[in-house]
Amino acid sequence: MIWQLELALFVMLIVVAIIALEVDDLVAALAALTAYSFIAAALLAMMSAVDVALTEASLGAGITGVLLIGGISLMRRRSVD
Amino acid sequence: MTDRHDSVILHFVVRVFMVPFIVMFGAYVFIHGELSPGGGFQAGAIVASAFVLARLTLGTEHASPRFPTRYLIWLASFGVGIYVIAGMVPMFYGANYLDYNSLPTAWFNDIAEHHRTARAMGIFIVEVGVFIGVFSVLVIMYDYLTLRFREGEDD
Repeated sequence: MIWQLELALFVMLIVVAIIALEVDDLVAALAALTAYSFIAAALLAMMSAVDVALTEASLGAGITGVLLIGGISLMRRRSVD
Repeated sequence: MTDRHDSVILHFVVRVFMVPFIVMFGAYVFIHGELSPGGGFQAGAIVASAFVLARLTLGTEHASPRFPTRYLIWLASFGVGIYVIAGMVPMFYGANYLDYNSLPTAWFNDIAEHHRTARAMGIFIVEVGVFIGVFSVLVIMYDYLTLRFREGEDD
């Protein structure tokens, strides 16, 4: 296991999570959330939990993103908070 | 009930490239689930994401004549039924629930001329049930989610 790569992935994970919380555009927030799921899947694959990584990549980055795009397409795109 | 988008490029990319390859990858994950990472749940989620993508871009009424919601509800119940029957059949042979070792699979090995243990066969039957159930339930979730919000807007 390469600890530099793992540290970089953890830093990217936190940065992407903060972006997903702070941005106003909901589609951009959804893209950041999908990137978060994908980085988490990469981290799980580095910990040799490949089955969990495949579940995270298919559910977190796949079906959740598609379902949330379907939800966003039925309402206004920018959040007001 | 999502509307149909106008972009021809989007329709072409989704229909020709994305949906067939996502379904093919789901079938790969499902078939190789015993040896490599994967299995019924992940493959069902991948194939369901392909179907939801088709409904999202092509519109629900264009994308769902072959898999409408009223059939998918029957299909989800059918998947759960496969799981329950694969669990109940060993109980008639005096074993516990989901005890695959006592499944009667000798006739299948005679027909297919391919030796497969009863345990592997039981796991495969359960995987088929989980695949059908997860795929149907995720597409049903999308259909009912969009249907309810669209009706709320019309009021």
